[in-house]
Amino acid sequence: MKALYLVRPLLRLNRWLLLLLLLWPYAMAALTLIGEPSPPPDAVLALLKEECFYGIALVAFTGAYLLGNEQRSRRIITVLARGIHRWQYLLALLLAAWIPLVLYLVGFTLSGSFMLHQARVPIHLVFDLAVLQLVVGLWTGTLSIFFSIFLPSILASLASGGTLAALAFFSISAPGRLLAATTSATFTTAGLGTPSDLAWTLALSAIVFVASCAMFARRDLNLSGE
Amino acid sequence: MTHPLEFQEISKQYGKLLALDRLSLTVEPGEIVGFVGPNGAGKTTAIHLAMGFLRATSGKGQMLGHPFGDPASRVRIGFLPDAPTVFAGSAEAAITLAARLNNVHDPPLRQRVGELIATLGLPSNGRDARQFSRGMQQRLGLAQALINDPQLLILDEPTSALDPPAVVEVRGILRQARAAGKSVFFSSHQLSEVEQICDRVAFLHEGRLLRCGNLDELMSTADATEILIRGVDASSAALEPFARFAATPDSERNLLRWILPSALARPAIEAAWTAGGELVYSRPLRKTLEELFIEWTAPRPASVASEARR
Repeated sequence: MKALYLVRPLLRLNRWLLLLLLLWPYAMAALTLIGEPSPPPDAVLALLKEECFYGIALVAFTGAYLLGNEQRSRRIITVLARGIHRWQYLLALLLAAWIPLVLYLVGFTLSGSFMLHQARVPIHLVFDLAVLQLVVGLWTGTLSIFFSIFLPSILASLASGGTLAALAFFSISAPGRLLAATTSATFTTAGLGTPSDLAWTLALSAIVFVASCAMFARRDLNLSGE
Repeated sequence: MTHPLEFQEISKQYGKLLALDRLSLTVEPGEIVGFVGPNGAGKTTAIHLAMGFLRATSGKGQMLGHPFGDPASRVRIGFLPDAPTVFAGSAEAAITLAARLNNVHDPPLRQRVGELIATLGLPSNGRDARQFSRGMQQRLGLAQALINDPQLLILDEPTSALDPPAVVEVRGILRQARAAGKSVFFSSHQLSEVEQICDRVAFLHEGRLLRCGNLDELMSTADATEILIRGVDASSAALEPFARFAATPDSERNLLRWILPSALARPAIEAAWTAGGELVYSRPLRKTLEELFIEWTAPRPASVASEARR
């Protein structure tokens, strides 16, 4: 519950950037449909994959920067001086990185369904992609927060991006296979990502999060000017 | 008996720099302890160790019966950092967030927020607290520290950015807290402030605790006595041995003031009586905290330092 109290002010910090990102799928759909009310299915598929990439990148970037930002601004002191555990604080950061993705996916799903409908192809693909992004987004968030505990923000975002790219490229582990499934999705693919891969990705996210909490609990806060 | 705050031989090292060297210090219930020292003395490091922001290299400590860093103790603590920072939002939102993180919920929460906003003169018009002046942010930080009616207040430079009326208000708040049996531990550079409200003072220098004690004891440590005599002729032969200690003779009012080593106070008073004078007062000379601070933290001459090493 305490983590939830923190999520709102954390989200509010970047509200204009978030608003821009939330409107992005609608804007892209509008631009596509204005030019061609019945777009070719392949063009829509390419756009949806591109939007998936932005969604994951959004989480990776936010997750990698949140902790560093809070430490630099010393707001972290204002929070951790109260009766809150460090794991609750990290959970708040994870939610603050992941919830924008959930909101982004609302736009992604609505605009994507409409575009697929206009392209006269089944719309189930957009829901599959949304579920995949939700799960991979959680994994991305935990991974970027993990790196941000001991790396500066820029390096943490590069490390998480690099790890995700490597996992996807080589289709290593469940998250890697899910990411690869996103990039290789076609209209004929029956379901994206197996349930076991989805479950494993969630489990791995939990393991990385617990490891992050254990590590963060033992570390000094890296306060500027300290 | 558990002390509200206790540092036990606690040290903190950053690489080769020893920021805090085996600090042992306790704060008793219902007392105000001032924590003073020059910049870089280790005051903030000690406070951050107590709050759990930093981990000790060695030693340990406890707050309200819990080890340093335990959120169970922080729920009952009011903390004000040296430079308070807040999230976007109104003063009310900032205080409410601090309250909820400390398990303070409605109905008392709403009432308490209103009281603190009024007491500390914070704007209640919904203005973004990040736009507040430094002094106003300090007041907001204080409101956040007080919202949970804490048993122990830990304040890092609480009056550094405040104007004189606000300083007086803060002083009143701290005295009220002490009267209610709460403990206050605060660091400050404003020694006159410390002198006015603290029961005990701890002097930190280069990570080491130089002195800690009752204010009266510390300030009377100077081995000198001030004596004021009335109705005496300063040139009297009986007073000749003490002539070099005379300060500001007031011939119009026939007053003579001496500042002399305490060991000479008795013979000087007797000499004054012999010369027909009348003792107005005799009191141990108190040094101000500023004077003590400078004296204790001044770099020692090389000869003294080498003597000490031997």
